[in-house]
Amino acid sequence: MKRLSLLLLPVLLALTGLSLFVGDGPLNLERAVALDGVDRAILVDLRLPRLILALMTGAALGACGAALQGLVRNPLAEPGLIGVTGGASLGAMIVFHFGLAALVPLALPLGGMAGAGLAVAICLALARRGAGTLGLILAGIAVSALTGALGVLVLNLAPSPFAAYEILYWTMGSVADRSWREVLLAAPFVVAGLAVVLSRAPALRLLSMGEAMGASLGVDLSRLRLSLAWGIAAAVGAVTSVTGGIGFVGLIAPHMLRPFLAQDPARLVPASALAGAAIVLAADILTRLIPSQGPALQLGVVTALAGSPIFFWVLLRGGGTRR
Amino acid sequence: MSLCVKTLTLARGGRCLLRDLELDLQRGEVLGILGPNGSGKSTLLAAMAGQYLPEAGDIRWQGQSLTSLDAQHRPRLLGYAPQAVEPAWGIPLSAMLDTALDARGLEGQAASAARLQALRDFDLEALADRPITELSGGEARRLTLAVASIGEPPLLLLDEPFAALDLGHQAALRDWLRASGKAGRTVVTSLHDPNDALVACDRVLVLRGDGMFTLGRPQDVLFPGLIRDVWGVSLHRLDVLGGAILVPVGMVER
Repeated sequence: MKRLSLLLLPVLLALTGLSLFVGDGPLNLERAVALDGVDRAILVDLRLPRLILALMTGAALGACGAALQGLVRNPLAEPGLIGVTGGASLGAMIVFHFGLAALVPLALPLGGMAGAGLAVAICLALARRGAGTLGLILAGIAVSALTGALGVLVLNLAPSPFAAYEILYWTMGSVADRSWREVLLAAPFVVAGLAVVLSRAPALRLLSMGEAMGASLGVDLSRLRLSLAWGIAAAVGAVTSVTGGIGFVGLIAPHMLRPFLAQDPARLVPASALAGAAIVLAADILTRLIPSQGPALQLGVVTALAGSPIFFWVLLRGGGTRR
Repeated sequence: MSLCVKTLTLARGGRCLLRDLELDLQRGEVLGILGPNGSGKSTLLAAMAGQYLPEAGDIRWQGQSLTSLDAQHRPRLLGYAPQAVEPAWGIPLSAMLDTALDARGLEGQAASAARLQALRDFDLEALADRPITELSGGEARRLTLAVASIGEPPLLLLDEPFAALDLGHQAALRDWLRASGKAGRTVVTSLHDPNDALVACDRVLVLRGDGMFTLGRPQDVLFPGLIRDVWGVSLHRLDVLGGAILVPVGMVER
């Protein structure tokens, strides 16, 4: 973990520096640092919130992906599995539909968070009747299916093709042009959620041989499920509400690191936060570097496009094999 | 009394497996649970491990209820080897043992000594660096027993520890069960071969699967008549070398 952090931190720092100085419009370093004029505005009001949002998003998706994989003991889990992403997207879509996004400030992220919270609450209520972790997964699939269906309904009922396009465009996921207000709204949820997820990570190692063995080694399974579900809901729900859907990061980050950490599901959680942040930041820089004729390339499109080949590569290299 | 079971009733899927079990185990006693498939051996062990809620009754360890025990106190009090484990990640075997030591609150010298002891007890020294996903069935069984017993919790609950073990490791396990009892640990283990029970257990509990049970010393309980009743197998009892061996000769018409 130490050696891996020594490798990941410089990468993250380099990307951070790069992210501040890459983009539309030249940025005069001297004047920006002196906090002067337009350069100050570009740095402080555009690049910095974008940077911080990208870091938060990547850290939340990476850590929560690793934690959920550890909880369900399956490398195919991703943070959206328990309905968070679907709920956040639906909440935001409904806000769009009624045109509240333009009328009320912060209506969009607040709607997203309400959706994420509601989805996880329904998911946990459903799972309480079912059997353990499998019950949680099935409830998550059911809730995701419902939010997906309702999302299509919202698109279907969109008042105009332009509105439908706006909604669709938002769901592609991006960290561009977000204000400090949105970043600061999401930040406490991300910090609190990550704190819960990171503090519960050591228990995941005890589950390596199965839930019965884990319970006998001191894991309170229902409490672990509950705290991880709410931690993930807070962190992933908050970032998704601000950025839209950004796929693959929560799935890929743990996969890439697993071989370097002796497959330890506990150390994987903090390491995946770092790797997730680096991935999202790198992808966001890519969206600014790749020239586009039409609208700017969206971050979620890049992570999906880049993520799936990496998944192929990880699988072919045997990094994700269970046996 | 260290393990005290009072009026315990267990059911699964609406079927009553065990009715009004009364049982007192002393420190250092080894109890074998026998019975046909589906008669409730694993359910009883899971209930003792605090992982299955009984219909009624009480299971206590030195006065403390095991069914409502706080999860984090559990590992210091008992070790549980479930019947099946499914390693999800290829963490090294020694790392899994360290995790269990950590859960039992052992550190430093005591931890190193306990790790060495567990590796030796279950012949795992050569496998210490092996990812747990790459163990054979018998090797995984030995790891499960090592994780359950590492750090010497006073109560050991073992679900079919002999399953999947080769002859040599079966013999070693019989010796280890005896030694654990002598060292003052209380052991409850399910098993299938009555000969293992004759050698390794102080008492046996035979579950019939309909709520009824028989409890007693193995040499008193495991006679051909009862085995014919419960399992439908006829066998000969040979008295040799100061002990008895039960040799199955065939099924009986029922």
